[in-house]
Amino acid sequence: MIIVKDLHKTFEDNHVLQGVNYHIHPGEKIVVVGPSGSGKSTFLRCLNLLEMPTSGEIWFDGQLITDPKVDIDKVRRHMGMVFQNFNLFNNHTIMDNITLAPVKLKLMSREEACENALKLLDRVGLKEKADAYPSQLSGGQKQRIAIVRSLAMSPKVMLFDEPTSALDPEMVGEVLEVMKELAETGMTMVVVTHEMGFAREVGTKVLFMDDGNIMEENTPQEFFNNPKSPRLQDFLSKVL
Amino acid sequence: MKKFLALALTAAMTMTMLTACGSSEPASAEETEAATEETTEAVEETTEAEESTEAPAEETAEAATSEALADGVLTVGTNAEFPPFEYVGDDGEPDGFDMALVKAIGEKLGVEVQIENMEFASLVSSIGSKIDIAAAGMTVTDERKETVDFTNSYYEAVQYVILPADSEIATADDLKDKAIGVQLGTTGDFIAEELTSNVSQYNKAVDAVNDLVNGRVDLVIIDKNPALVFENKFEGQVVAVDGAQFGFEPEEYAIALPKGDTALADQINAAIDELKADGTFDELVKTYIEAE
Amino acid sequence: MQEWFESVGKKFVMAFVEGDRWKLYIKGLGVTLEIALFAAIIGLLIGTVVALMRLSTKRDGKKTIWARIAGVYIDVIRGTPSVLQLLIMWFVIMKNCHNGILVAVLSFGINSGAYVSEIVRAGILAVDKGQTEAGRSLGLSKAQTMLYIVIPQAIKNVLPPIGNEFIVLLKETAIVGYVSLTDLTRAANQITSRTYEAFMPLIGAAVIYFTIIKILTILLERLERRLRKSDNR
Repeated sequence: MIIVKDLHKTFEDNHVLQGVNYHIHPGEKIVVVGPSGSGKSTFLRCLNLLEMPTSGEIWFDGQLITDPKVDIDKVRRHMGMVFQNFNLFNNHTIMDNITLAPVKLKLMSREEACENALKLLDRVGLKEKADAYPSQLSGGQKQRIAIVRSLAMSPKVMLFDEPTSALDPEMVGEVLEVMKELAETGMTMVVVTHEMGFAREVGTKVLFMDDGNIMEENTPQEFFNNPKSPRLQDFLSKVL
Repeated sequence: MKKFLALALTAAMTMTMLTACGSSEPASAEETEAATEETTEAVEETTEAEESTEAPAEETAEAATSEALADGVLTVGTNAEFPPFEYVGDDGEPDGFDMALVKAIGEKLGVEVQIENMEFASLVSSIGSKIDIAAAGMTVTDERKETVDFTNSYYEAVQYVILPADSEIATADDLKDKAIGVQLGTTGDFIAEELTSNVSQYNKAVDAVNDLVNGRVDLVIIDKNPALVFENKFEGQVVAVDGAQFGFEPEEYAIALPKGDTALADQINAAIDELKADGTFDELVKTYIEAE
Repeated sequence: MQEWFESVGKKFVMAFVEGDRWKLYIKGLGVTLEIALFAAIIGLLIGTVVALMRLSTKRDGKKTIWARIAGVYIDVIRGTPSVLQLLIMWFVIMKNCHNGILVAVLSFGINSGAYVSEIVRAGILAVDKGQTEAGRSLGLSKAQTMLYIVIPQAIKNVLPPIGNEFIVLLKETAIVGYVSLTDLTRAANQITSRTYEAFMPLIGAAVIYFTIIKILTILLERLERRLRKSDNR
């Protein structure tokens, strides 16, 4: 579904991604872990071109999206993204947050979009917050809304950029719960996170990134029980 | 509210006092004395040279203690936008007939002449504070006389009308309801005000003429000499017409003085008479006005 | 003291009452407000467009030609005195335009636009980058993200400084006398040139400016307070 070939990204003098290659298949739940500064967030943000790669190719659904002629806005409709800081639109109600994109992009009528939004809100247990503003919600609620907002576009893949890192500990669970349910529906997911429990339980593959490259890739069981590289062993000893 | 009123009142009073402090504040006793002596000497010399026996020496000396001259400096306000009477010379200093005249007067009175170039409209209201006298091709009018005194007239002039070269304006009747350009506060301004409500007032005469060329105004009313200068500079575009053709009264230029300072008036009038007598005045007319 | 009051009273009558001179101040104030208001509207339009131009980037993050043009415009306007801009507009660029107010409105509008654009730019930059990223990640275009998400939030940021800019603009219009327009300041000058008395007309004009601006300031403060409240909704 997503093929990454020799992906490089440089910020000024900082070579953040140094030739990443990877192939994500439909239905996979890829969990990306690694120390901070390892390039894992940049890797994720390159997948929907929020960061423009310096060089390399990214194919999505058989289309080379790094080609300058591609209308990236159309591609992004099919790639949902959830941010560390939720990034709900502060000037809109929850309902408008969810329906804004589908309606403005003329994918649905307002009625359809609202109906769909209510259904999704019900799924995450926040139906009664439809008319609230983001500032009235807790962090956990905001992140659940952010997930719903992405789902409202019926994406083919969901990207999560450290979705629980900005949350108070007692709210982490509710967000992970929603993500688990989403995984069970068969959604293709790429998740950058520090939640090793989530990686073990939900991931189909776990990637360890360090120094701008994928150092190790394995099934969760092998990854956690039988780490091969000393760096991963060291990393795991610190986070587990 | 009461507090605010009190504050406003104090502020207003302070400001009137501040505005008044320009010239009326007495200089320190020593200074005044010294300056008076100097001036007296100078005047005595003058009177001697003139061999005038009409006024007793004491009286002249007393009359000479005009506050304006007490510091040995005569500050003259002008608006150097009115060639050939006053304009900014190539050296950046105000020059022109009036400037040469006041310098000659200063020499006769034995005082240093300092020129202040300012807006014409502020000249009269600045006399007695920022400046001692104003020499700016200023016409004697009854209105101005309410605020300031004038010396004897030293020049007679008539207002001119500058018209676009192809204008059909020819008589006094044609002037009605036309857009008139003038320099703010000049005689032309007052004449225009009588003729129409559609008057554009400029800071500088040349701006008025530029807008005449641009078609924003139909005519410009201005003194004769600058009018002729403009006719020359904008050759083919504008013509200057004698205001007599439109029934404008001739007017007299004089130097404006602080109200009630008859001593200063007498001194300057005497100096002008002398300059006329010894031929200097005619020299200046030839150099500045007729040469144009 | 009594003398002082009498002389002030006389000056007051001369400056405001005689010959219905108060009408000149009112007319002048009308011109001042007319120029300031329309110039502010033009400045707001220009400022917004220029700010967006200035913020535009190419795919690789470099400045566009529009950004460069906007930069030059802001540099030139901020680097020259507004009175010169007005004179140039009047005597050079629009010398054949006979509607003096229009020339002044355009001149001040173009001038204000440069300052407004910097305010708007700062206001847009102050909106969290995450808002833009969220919008783009949903497939909204740059323009749609700006229009529906960033600009509505930026407006809240920029209203107070825009109000300030309007106050500055209102006072700045006092230079239109240079091109023979009769605004409030010129009206006061006219009366001085008639009465040869500067105190009352100048103080009077200053009091009128002050009052108008005080009212504006109070309205702005109220608006600001309301905006701050809505932050907590």
